[in-house]
Amino acid sequence: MDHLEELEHRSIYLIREAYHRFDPLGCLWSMGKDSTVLLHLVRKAFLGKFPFPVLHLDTGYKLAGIYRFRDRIAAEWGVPLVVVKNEAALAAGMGPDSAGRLACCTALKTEALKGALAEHGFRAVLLGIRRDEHGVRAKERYVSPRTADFTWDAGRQTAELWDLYARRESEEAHLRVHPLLHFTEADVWRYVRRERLPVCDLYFAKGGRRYRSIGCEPCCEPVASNAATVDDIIREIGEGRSEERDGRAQDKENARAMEQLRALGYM
Amino acid sequence: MRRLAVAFVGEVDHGKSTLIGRLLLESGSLSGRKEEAARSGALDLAHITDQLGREQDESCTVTSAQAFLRSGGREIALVDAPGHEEFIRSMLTGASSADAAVILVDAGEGVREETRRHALLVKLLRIPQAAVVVNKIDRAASPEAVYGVRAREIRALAAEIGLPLGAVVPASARHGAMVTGRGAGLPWYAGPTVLEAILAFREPDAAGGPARFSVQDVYDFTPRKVAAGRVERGEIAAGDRLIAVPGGAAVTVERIAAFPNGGLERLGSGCAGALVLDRPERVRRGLVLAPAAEAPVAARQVKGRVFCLGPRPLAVGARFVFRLATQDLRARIGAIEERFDTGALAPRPPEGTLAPLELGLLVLELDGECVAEDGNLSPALGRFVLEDDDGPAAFGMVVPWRASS
Ligand SMILES: Nc1nc2c(ncn2[C@@H]2O[C@H](COP(=O)(O)OP(=O)(O)OP(=O)(O)O)[C@@H](O)[C@H]2O)c(=O)[nH]1
Ligand SMILES: [Mg+2]
Repeated sequence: MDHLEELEHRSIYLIREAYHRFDPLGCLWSMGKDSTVLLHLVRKAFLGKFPFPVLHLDTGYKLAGIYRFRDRIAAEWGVPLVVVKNEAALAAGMGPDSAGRLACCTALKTEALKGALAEHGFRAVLLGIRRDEHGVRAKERYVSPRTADFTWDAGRQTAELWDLYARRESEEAHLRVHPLLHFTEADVWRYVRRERLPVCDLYFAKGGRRYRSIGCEPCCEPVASNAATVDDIIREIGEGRSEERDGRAQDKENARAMEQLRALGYM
Repeated sequence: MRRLAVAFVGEVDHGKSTLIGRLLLESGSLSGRKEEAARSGALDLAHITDQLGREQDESCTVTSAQAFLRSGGREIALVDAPGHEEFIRSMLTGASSADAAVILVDAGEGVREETRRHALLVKLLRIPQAAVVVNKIDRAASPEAVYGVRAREIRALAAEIGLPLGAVVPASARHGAMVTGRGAGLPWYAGPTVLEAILAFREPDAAGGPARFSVQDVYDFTPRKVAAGRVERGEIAAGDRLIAVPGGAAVTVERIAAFPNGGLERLGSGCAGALVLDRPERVRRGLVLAPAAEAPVAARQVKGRVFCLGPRPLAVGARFVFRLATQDLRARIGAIEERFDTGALAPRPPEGTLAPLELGLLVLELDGECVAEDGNLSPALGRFVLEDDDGPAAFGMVVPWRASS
């Protein structure tokens, strides 16, 4: 088995374990490259089918290209898409400028997910996070419990031995399952190339700039780049020494922002 | 080649996180921003993996993390395990996924309780290759003599445990000697640097021999029913005639289904696949498919070397969920035949319980038949977890009842 195959088989095994053991299961799709790879792995695991719903936590602030990509892929792949919005917060004017970024992410993503979990009663959700994205994510486990108030105590995680994914029955309200944890950013792009996967065109450079990480319009900045194809991006990452989330405002707000966000239940 | 994972283990404060930080820094694996901060001293090398506020405040790894090293066109995952006894579950989370281990020993302190325990766990987990770093050599007044003492000490420990050791490298994680470059002050040492020792780790061989396929699930929403699962050893090919154990029902692999492009000829060891069988109704989750002539034996008892994770002791008669590959059963501890103190490496008289951090030889009575094999042949069928409502209470390595193929 080569490197990408090994990553792929490990992910598929976990996705199938989650489907068997954690019922009902949902999958989060942000339309970014990672969660699109996740969706593809779900299709591989279930031979082209989606045996559970796919959720988009829509903040209403996403870059326009993201919505176009979502609708195109959802139609082409037959994604059972459920769009989730925190309508109440949006109606009350929630936004990064009015309330601050931490409060905005919490309301429009974390609280929206809480609402969806309550409505659908999900036992677990699949998420496309990776260890190399951010220091605190390097501490994540494949199966990661969250309490009812969504907190994650990184320091008090149960043991995760091999792929036996044991879990704590008493405290957890839902489980986060992370099938891409072992992928790096470069792996994701190599996998996109190998599988010829569609990705949102915001990732490709136009006029000397591209998005390396995509999300909400007010909080994502394109980075300087001339990478216009997947091959270019792979080369750029191989040579480059910048950080993937350099364009992401929420990580920079203060040094421990990500740990705070994650402790509050952020993805 | 697949990416290897190397676990850094050993006693608390012996320098695991700092060494990982140093390796990342000197190999050019850090982002420009982090590199600058590390070079200027604004970023403590240990904090590259010790990212939690609590870890930085207490200068102590609490939960294992992974970072990616890039060197000479290769990528290696460095697993930072906590050394403190209290965080042994997290150490095991990191170590259980590793292909190789680096055991750190502080040149001044030498082998300590956690050094012994971690070395023993490396052996127990069947991590096939290990190297040693005698760290903080910068602090030794006569480094060559101190290195000699520590190298003998750790080799004696490895011999006692039966752990094969590679290089024993003197190094200073803090000052960067013998980590990626040789540095000054250690001219008497002719062996590899830490990085060279890591790059010398090899990809473990795929598990060969007669095929084993663990069934995860049977899907009926696909055009034809498929048995999803994983090849634990050997190879599965279209046309194979297999039996499902326990039970012994015969099935034939008609096709290996795949998406998006139709089907595959064969599945190798480690592959997650989906089999179209002639008699799909004969299989279900937990069964193991194997060639009839070389099929495993199923039994209602499993014997294993079991490590108690705590916080509570394991007692004869206690009941758990037993997980081995895709087999989920109920287990009751039938007997505790041996007990072993993993910090002192000393046997204790068996007396009906196994305390946290102790290793025991246990007999488990199961509520159904189970396929458990010698982990040297089928890694995934040779290890298990005992789980209670609080999560994993223990893990174990199967001790085969009799020699099997
Ligand atoms: N002088 C000297 N100090 C070192 C060296 N390596 C690490 N240290 C110091 O030793 C202390 C502990 O280092 P860590 O890297 O946090 O140790 P650790 O093994 O990761 O500890 P735990 O995660 O708690 O098990 C820190 O103060 C380091 O700066 C070294 O080579 N020389
Ligand atoms: Mg540490």
